[in-house]
Amino acid sequence: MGRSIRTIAMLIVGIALLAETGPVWAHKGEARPADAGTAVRQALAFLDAEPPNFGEAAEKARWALEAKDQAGINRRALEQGVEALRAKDVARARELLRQALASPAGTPAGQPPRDIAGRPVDHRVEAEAHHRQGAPLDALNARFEGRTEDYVTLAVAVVLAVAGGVILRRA
Amino acid sequence: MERPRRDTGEHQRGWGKLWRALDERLGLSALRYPVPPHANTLGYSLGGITLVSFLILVATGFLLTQYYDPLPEGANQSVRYIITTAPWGRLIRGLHYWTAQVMVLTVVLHLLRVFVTAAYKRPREANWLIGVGLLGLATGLYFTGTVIKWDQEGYEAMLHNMESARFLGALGIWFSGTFTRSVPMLVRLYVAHVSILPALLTLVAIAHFALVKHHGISPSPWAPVQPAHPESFSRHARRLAGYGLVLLGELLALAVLFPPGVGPTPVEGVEVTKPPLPLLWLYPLENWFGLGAVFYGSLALFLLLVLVPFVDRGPERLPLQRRAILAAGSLVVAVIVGLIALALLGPTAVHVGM
Repeated sequence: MGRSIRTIAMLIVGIALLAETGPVWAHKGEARPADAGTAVRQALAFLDAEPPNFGEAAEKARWALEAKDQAGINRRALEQGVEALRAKDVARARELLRQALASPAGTPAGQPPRDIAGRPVDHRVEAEAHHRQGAPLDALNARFEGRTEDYVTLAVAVVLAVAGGVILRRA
Repeated sequence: MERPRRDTGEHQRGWGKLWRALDERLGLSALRYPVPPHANTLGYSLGGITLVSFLILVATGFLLTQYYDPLPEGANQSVRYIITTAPWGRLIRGLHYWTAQVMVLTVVLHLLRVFVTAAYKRPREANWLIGVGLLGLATGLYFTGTVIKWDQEGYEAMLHNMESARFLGALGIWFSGTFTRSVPMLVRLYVAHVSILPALLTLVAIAHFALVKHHGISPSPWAPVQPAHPESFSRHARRLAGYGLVLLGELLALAVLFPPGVGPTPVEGVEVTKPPLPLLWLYPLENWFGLGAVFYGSLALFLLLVLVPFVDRGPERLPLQRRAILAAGSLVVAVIVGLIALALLGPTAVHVGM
């Protein structure tokens, strides 16, 4: 019994250690975007990740501050966002970084996209093209709203499941 | 005046007449085949439940295509429109999402059932291989479905698709961004999701069912002798309809209670998400060995599956008589489960060149 528990404990510790192993071989590095808008959105992506990656978000926000191309950026909000990140206030940082992108229309496309051989192609700008349209920066988290049609659908679901159960019982 | 109730015999005769009329013209009785009693259990109905799932996916997919915009500029926004504005859009998308999860699960459970009960043995080796092909197509549909919702997860999945093209060499040209400059990669993966893969899956599934009918449903290892009086196909079909209705009810409830959302529009240059659960086992391999491990890991799994009927060729069907192959299969399952656990516990990582 004790031996089994020790074995299970060692397995769990082993898995936890393996999970923490850094992706050293896989990491290819990230290119610094030429425009502040892309860097701010990258910072937001790290803040929206599960779990939020605070360090990477701060680095991207710093890149945004240092970027030569500041078109379409609310610089004051960006600076305040960087301060909020330094203070580890994630919620405020998220809000300020979104404000920094208050006028994304006109933001340039950023670094030229490349194919797997390093040649420039158009496909990598697909995400960028979307942002030029002022696309939403927030996740849309749908949830049960308890509307009448929701309850009607739930009732239909129960009827279907019961009907299926009756068929299974009789067949 | 009370209407006379129809006599049950007359009722039966009415249905029989209708059946004969339809059968004469459509040859429906060709679908009938004797069904052993064990085939009506849940374990032996997983293939049929997968078929029901696929039909739900096709029906909901038809509706979703009416509102989905596959162009990169509008894709994420159109998914939001489906969730918030399109009539019954949130329910239909929820049904599509949850059915996809269930279909992947039932495909895997069906494969495991066939493996444990040795249903791949002679003369059913070809049908096992066709089933492995169906697993590949179902995975492809799941992957492309992940991409086309076009949030950060979808975008990163598409980048992996394009980067993986290099490992396929000339065979991978379709998966690369350089295949054509006239159509965005997202649109091509959308076409694969709604047209190419479902068409292929339908054709391969027809071959799968034709071989099931040809060979008959595989015998149970615990009752290897075919019964003298097999049950009717109509009872099997009724039970499948029952399972289908229960499944549909459960999926509707899931779609209402836990509707799927959509992430923010993607941004290039970062990798902040992990793959969805069915593909998650590849993530640690990619962490350790790089992007090639996704290709080679998938290839190794499918190669092992293909080899099963050629390695285990003896007449034994009882699990206790096939300890070696079942131990090997259990090891593969344990490794995959372990890799999924690692991926869940570990941090996100950058894999593709940004």
